[in-house]
This record gives sequence, structure tokens and C-alpha cells, in this order.
Amino acid sequence: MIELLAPAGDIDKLKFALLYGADAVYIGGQNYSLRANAKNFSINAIKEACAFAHSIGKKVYVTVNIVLHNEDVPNLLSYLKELSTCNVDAVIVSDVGVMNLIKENNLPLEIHVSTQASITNDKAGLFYKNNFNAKRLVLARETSKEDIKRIKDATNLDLECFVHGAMCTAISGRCVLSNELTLRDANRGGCAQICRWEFIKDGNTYSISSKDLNMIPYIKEMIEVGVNSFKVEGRMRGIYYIAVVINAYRHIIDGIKNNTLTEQDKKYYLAILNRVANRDSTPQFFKGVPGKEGEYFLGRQEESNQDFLGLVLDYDKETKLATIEERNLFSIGDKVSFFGPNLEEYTTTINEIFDEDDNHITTANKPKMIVKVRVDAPLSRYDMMHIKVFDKKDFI
Amino acid sequence: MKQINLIIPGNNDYKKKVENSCFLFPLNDYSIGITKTFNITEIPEYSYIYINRILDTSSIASLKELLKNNSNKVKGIVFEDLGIINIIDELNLKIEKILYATHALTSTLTIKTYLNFVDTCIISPDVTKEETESIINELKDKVGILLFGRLPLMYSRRSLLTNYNEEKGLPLDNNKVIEEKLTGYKFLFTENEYGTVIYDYLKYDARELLNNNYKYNIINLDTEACDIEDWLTNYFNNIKLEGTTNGFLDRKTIYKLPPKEASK
Repeated sequence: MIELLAPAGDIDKLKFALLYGADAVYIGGQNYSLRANAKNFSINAIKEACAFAHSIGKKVYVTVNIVLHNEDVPNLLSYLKELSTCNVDAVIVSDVGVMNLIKENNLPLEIHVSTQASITNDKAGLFYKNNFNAKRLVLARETSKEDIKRIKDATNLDLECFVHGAMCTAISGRCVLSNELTLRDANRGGCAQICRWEFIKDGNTYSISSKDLNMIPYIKEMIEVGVNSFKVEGRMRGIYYIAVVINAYRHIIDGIKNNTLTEQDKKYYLAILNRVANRDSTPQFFKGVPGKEGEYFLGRQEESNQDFLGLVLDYDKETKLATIEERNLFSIGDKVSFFGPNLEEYTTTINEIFDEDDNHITTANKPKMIVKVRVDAPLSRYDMMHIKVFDKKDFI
Repeated sequence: MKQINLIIPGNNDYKKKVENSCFLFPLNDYSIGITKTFNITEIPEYSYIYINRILDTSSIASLKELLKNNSNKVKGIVFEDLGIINIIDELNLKIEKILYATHALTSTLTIKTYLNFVDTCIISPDVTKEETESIINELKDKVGILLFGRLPLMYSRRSLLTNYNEEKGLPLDNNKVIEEKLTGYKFLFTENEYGTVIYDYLKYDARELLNNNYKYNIINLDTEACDIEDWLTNYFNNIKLEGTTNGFLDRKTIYKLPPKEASK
């Protein structure tokens, strides 16, 4: 089984992730999840998420991945019981106390061991398999190719590895810098990302910030050593980022499965991913411990991406008018491109824009304003319009 | 209950017998964030060893071999990586298993669960005094605490000092005081070939917990240049130490931000 696993911070993001090619999503409930300050899902929203995902043959995993303090325990069992009525496909857990409650109460919840458990060797994997009947291990991002293979051989469990997105400088779960400096508990979802702050060493600005992870060049090797689930980080990310990243990895994975992936494809999708990210990325630990190339040294370097121009809400085949919700400014004469769940790429130039009252306008310049644009290719709801930057034929 | 001190030595005093105490030897190649580590051949028979690395597969395999060939040396292991439980069981060794998963042992439920697989757990120093005492009250001689030493705040597999020094063309160092720019808060970075540990620059002192009924005190004297007996006498006679912190004992961490803060 090969699975592309996407983050989803709310029900809208979940739909985009699944429609753009994810096989499964991971979401957080309103408690016990490591993105405590994301919107997250109520029990009813989890039920809705599962119903939607299952209706299109996809899966939902729910994170219950905080490290427990005593104050978190009293309501935990009732929460797990509620979750077990939601038809979730698995829970992602790091604390053995949670695993024990699931086991002792025979709750029908499949356990996936969170990356917060820092599994980097086969024996640690076996601990969770043998004692808690874990079905899947989400390996630490520090796990090398050789270790992934050995863990697979020894445990024969499903292995899930992060392939894209932000990385902790620490081994995940092994950091309380946020607790120390801000009292925001990193292991209960409050991380203030101190590793991206600036420090002083011998009078000079010093940084310990990690570059992001990007495994596009190594997906095939990951499949060969036994990785089953390819996980994208980012429950706080927006729909455009999710759509672009998931779309890229979908094409890469399908290309590998169908034996049609070319070097041109890899270069093209790598360029797309680098463009949508706001930080530099590298493959990090897969081929060994990264040196200085895995880190930033000049403080926080992030750029906001403004390529996302609009979301297609509707398309009239007769008038060829697409109804679009604006996200970034665009004007008549702009060269744009549409992509979507069933549309690889369609490039066009904007010749006409109408406002909601069908008046001609020259620019869509208000966030979330509704406009109509004439587009010859048939579009669908959930398609997106962005700045045309790359052309695959340029990546030979 | 009279607690037992597990002392990480900073000098050669480990050859002494110290009342009510055992030495805890950080093992070469399996420890991180410690200045003075020991080869298995250096340590006396029937000792406690300290293995606080997160281990890769080849390291855990070599550790298994080491334990198999030196079973008489090891009375107990204080460890972080759960894979060690498995290798001790596979070898059927009678070694005391003391789990010190630094940031993961923060609730009674969690620790109780681990106690199905290990003999003792060291409560994480990330919880308040009230939380610590609540855990101790329930689990008593099945738990211990970090009593004194550097307070670990982060463990990275990366060489955070070396990478920076290489990038900037600076001389290498592996033990450095570093300051956070906005707050001026000081940390101690300690690096070896297996990664970097960031500690609070102030030394952790949890003597306010000594009246409780638990089993082990971890006392880390790694960076203390002192006579151990004198140090212990002074310490347990409540001599005031300069430059210490009680960590989170009186600082409760926040789980969720208020809605207004969270939306920022």
C-alpha cells in the first residue's frame, strides 16, 4: 500500500487535500492534538470529515498526540470513546498512557505511533507493536534510509514518513525551549518555535533554524525500502499550499507506480514546490545527518507566496464564465494558469473581468471579492487560478 | 523512604564509595550532552549506566552486543530510548530498567503504563511541583526525580555548533553559552558526534522535592569540579547554591492560548 497523507486544519482544507490527490488526511480534535491553536475539529466535524472521506474511498486519521499531564487525563477516556464512534480510520498517538486506555478498554481505534515518539530503530518499533498492537509507525524525521529498511524488515508494520514541510531542529518531542521561554507547552500543542528565533554567540547573530524537508528526489527509494505512507506537514497551511504540494506528490507517486516518471517531471515539481514554499528545503536525514546545508544561519528567512489568484466557485459552460473568489490581485492582460483535481494545467490570458453586478472591471483587487472571468477551457468548482510561472517543457 | 542518589560523576571521584549513592556512568557512544563519558571497561562491576541517546538501528544492535558481553558490569540502566527495553528482554538479562524519557514522563497514567515494562521511571522535570508530588504520591518507590544538574531543554541530532562554525569559518567548539537575542536568556549548548543538547544555563536544583517518598535522585555533577563527598554533604545540609533554577516546579505551562492570542 502506498498512501499520500495530507494535513487538514479544518473541513475545507480536508476537502481540498482529498480532492487534489491525498489518499488520507490527518486532523486534530479540539483537544489532545499538537496544533492546539489551529481551528481543529469538533466531534461532529470529525464525523463529517470521515463521512466525506469515506464517500470517496479515502481515510481520516485523528491526532491524539500530546504528551499527557495529569490535568489532561480525566476527560481523555470519554474523548477516545467518542472518537471510536466517529468511524475514524486510526488515531495518531505518542503517549503510551493514551495507547493503554485504548487497549484496556478495547476501543476500536487503530493505533499509529506518532513521530513524537522518536522511533529511529527497529527495537523501539517492536515495543509499540508488541505491547500496544500498533499498526503503523510514524518514524522520526531523523531516520535514515538504512534504518527505515531495517525497521521495516524487523517490524513488518506500515511505515509513515514525512516527505515535505517544516522540521523541528530538535528530534520531535525532545524539546521544551518553548516551555522555557514562553511557558507555551511544545509537547501539548503550544510550540512557539523558539528554534526559529535569533541567538547571540560570541557577539554574533546565531541561528539553529532548520530548513524545511523536501523528499521529491527520493520518493522512489523510499518506496523501495518499505515506506507506505508519504506524509506532508502543515495543518496550519492554507488551501493553495495544500493543493499545490499534494498535487505535486500525487503526480510523482503515480509516475513512479506507473513507471512513467521522468527527470523532467521531478525537476518541474521540485521547482513548483520550491516556489510555493516560504522557506528553503532539502532532503535532510534520508542520506545521512545533514551538515550546515540543512540549516539557516541568517535568522528567519521567509517569503510570502502571492501566486494564488483565485478559487473557482462555478463555471458556466454556455457563457464560458468562471465565477472566481479573488485571493491576490489580478488584472486584464495577466497570463494565468488554472489547475484542479481533474485539470492538470490550463494557461490563458485574462481578457475580461466582471464584478458581481456584471460590470466590466480591469482589476480584481479586493480580498475574496467575487468576479467572473471568461475562460475557454471547462473549469470546475475547487479549481484554482494562479500566476503562470513554470512550463514543464522548460525542464528538460 | 531514604532516597538513593544516582550520581553522574564529573571527575575521578567515582572510585570512592559514597553513602546511600551509586554512580551513574554515561557510556561512550551512547550518551549525549555529557562532557565526561566512560568506556565499559572503565566502570566498576555492577554499576548503573546512563544511555540517553535516541539510538539508530546499528547503535542499538551494538549496544545489545555490549550488554551481552558485559552483563556482569551492569546493575541497571537509566535510558531514554524504548528499544532498550526490548534488547534487555531479548537477552533475558537481570538489569534494572530505569526509564528517563526526558520530556515524556509527565503524567501518572503515562508512567504507570511504562511501569508495566520497566522497574522505575524518572519523572520529567517539565512539570510543576504539585504535579510531581501528585505522581510521587501515587507511585512512590517506582519513581525518581532529577534532583540536581543541567536542565535539558532540547535534543537535536544536528551538530548545531559545528555547522554554524563551519559556515562562518570559526574555530570549532562543542560547549558554549549562547544567549537568546530578545530576552537575553542564556543556554548551554553541548555537542558531540551524535548531536547537540541545549540546557538551561542555570543549574537545576529541586531540593524542595526532597521531603517526598520516592526512590531515586539523579544528581548530575558532570560539569562540577568538586569533591563529591564534600559536595553532597553541603548539598544535603541545604547550603545555598548560586546560579540555580527550579525549572518548571513553580511555572505551569500553558496548553492552549486564549482565542485572541491564538489567532495572531
